[in-house]
Amino acid sequence: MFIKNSKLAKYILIFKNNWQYEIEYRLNALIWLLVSFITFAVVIFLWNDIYSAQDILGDYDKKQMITYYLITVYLLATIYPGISVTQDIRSGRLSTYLTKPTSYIIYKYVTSLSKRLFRLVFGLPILIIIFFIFNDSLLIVIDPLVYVFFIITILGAINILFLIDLIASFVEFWITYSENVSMLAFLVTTFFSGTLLPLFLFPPWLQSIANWLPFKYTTYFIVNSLVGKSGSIEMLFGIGIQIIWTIVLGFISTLLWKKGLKKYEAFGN
Amino acid sequence: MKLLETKIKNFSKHRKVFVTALRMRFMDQMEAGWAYFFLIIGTLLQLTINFLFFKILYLQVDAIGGWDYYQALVLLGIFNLVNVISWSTYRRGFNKLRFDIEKGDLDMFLCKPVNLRPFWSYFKISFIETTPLFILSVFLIIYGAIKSGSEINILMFLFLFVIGLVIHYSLSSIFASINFFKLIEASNYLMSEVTDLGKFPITIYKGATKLILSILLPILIIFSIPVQALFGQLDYQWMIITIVVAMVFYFIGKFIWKKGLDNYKSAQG
Repeated sequence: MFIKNSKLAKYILIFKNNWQYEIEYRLNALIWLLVSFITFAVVIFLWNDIYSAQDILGDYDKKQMITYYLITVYLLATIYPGISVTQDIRSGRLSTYLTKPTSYIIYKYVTSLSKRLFRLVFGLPILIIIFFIFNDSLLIVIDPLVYVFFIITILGAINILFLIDLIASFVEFWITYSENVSMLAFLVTTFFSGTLLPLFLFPPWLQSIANWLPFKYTTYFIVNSLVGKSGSIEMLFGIGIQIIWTIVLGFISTLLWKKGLKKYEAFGN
Repeated sequence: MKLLETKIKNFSKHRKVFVTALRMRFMDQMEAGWAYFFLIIGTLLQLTINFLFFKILYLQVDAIGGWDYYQALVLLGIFNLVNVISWSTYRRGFNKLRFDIEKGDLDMFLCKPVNLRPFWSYFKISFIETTPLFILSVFLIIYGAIKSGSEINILMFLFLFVIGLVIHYSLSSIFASINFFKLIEASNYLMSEVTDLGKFPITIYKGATKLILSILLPILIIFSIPVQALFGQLDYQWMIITIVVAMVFYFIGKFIWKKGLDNYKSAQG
């Protein structure tokens, strides 16, 4: 009853609608996931070759490394594809949203959350099947607490990724055709988040840069914890950092949004 | 004689359209200067990240798949060069096909008096934003080749590089043509991810995977074979396989495009 009449009800409806949309276009999500898991197959060949000369690399053995990449690929295919608002600003479609009794940013957050959660759920059976098939080469975590942390930190990562997307897209208020800024943001994010290489392999100077940026908390921190490289205190500390980054990025995006709206001209409408 | 006249006439028609397309792209670039500036930064960042990826890996090991650091640099140079040439010429056009089919805009192109496949390969042509990456990629190839200290075979390299481009062109055309039969949102992403598989040395792959990625989905031979040819490590069997695969895929690409066009139903009714 409370939810039905509250502001929240609108957003729950938006979430449901978008979930339905994702179900309707599930083939796209499936292709996205399958292609990502093909990349994982290649990674196995690469690391098999590298580990043929040594048993331990940095801090990881082969099982941990392959598990690291499998989870990374899963996250890359599920929580990374974002929702761009660049087109809305450029085409003038933003005006339509501004006249609605919803907050544009929350609207976009809910749709992006729905898209990302759908892909996480949709990709889970594929991930489990891979764990069953390659159980000899993968690290299976038994501690349920680690999974609880895993779920919490994924939600934290979704928030950070959404806000990075948003900040990059808001550049469109000032510069037309700014999709390439989003592309730049994506490249920097994937590199410093540890999706290409685990951060412990980076040279010390690059690691210290990564430590001061939010990207590490969207993948490396999450997967590193899952493969048993962080204790409970470190995990809690990491969640704290995720919250701090969410607040900082949230503040920046709100500031840009307010400044951008003053600049917005709604051409095209 | 008549056939030759028709060919010359067709060529002259394409030349005129090509020049117009080039001029239109230049006007676009002048209009959205910042967008192209960010694109240049993005392409250079992509190369830097790929370079750092290999640099970091080679800090841990001496060889990957038996290839030393400088051979890997040549591979990275070729990988970027093929990408840069494809993005400057045919990739943008092929990537646009899905959107044009979806919106029904393809109809406008169907009534043009030119052969659609070559037209589609160059009507989005653009060199300005890709030139810096082109220069850097060539530099990487030359630097890697000189620093390796091995004897090099430039003619064989150039020949197989062009053959590799033919395969890449055909694959891009095939992936784009899928949209004639079923609109796949992830078709462009699919091509990018498949292309990415080629940035590792062919020698890390084993058994059926190597065979599949060399012959059925010949992404490995586009990039790795020219490197082996440059360093005189290529045996004749692989050279013949590469040439045959290029011919087969060229005709498959042409055939699927034609069948796709026959199958095309306008979205505008």
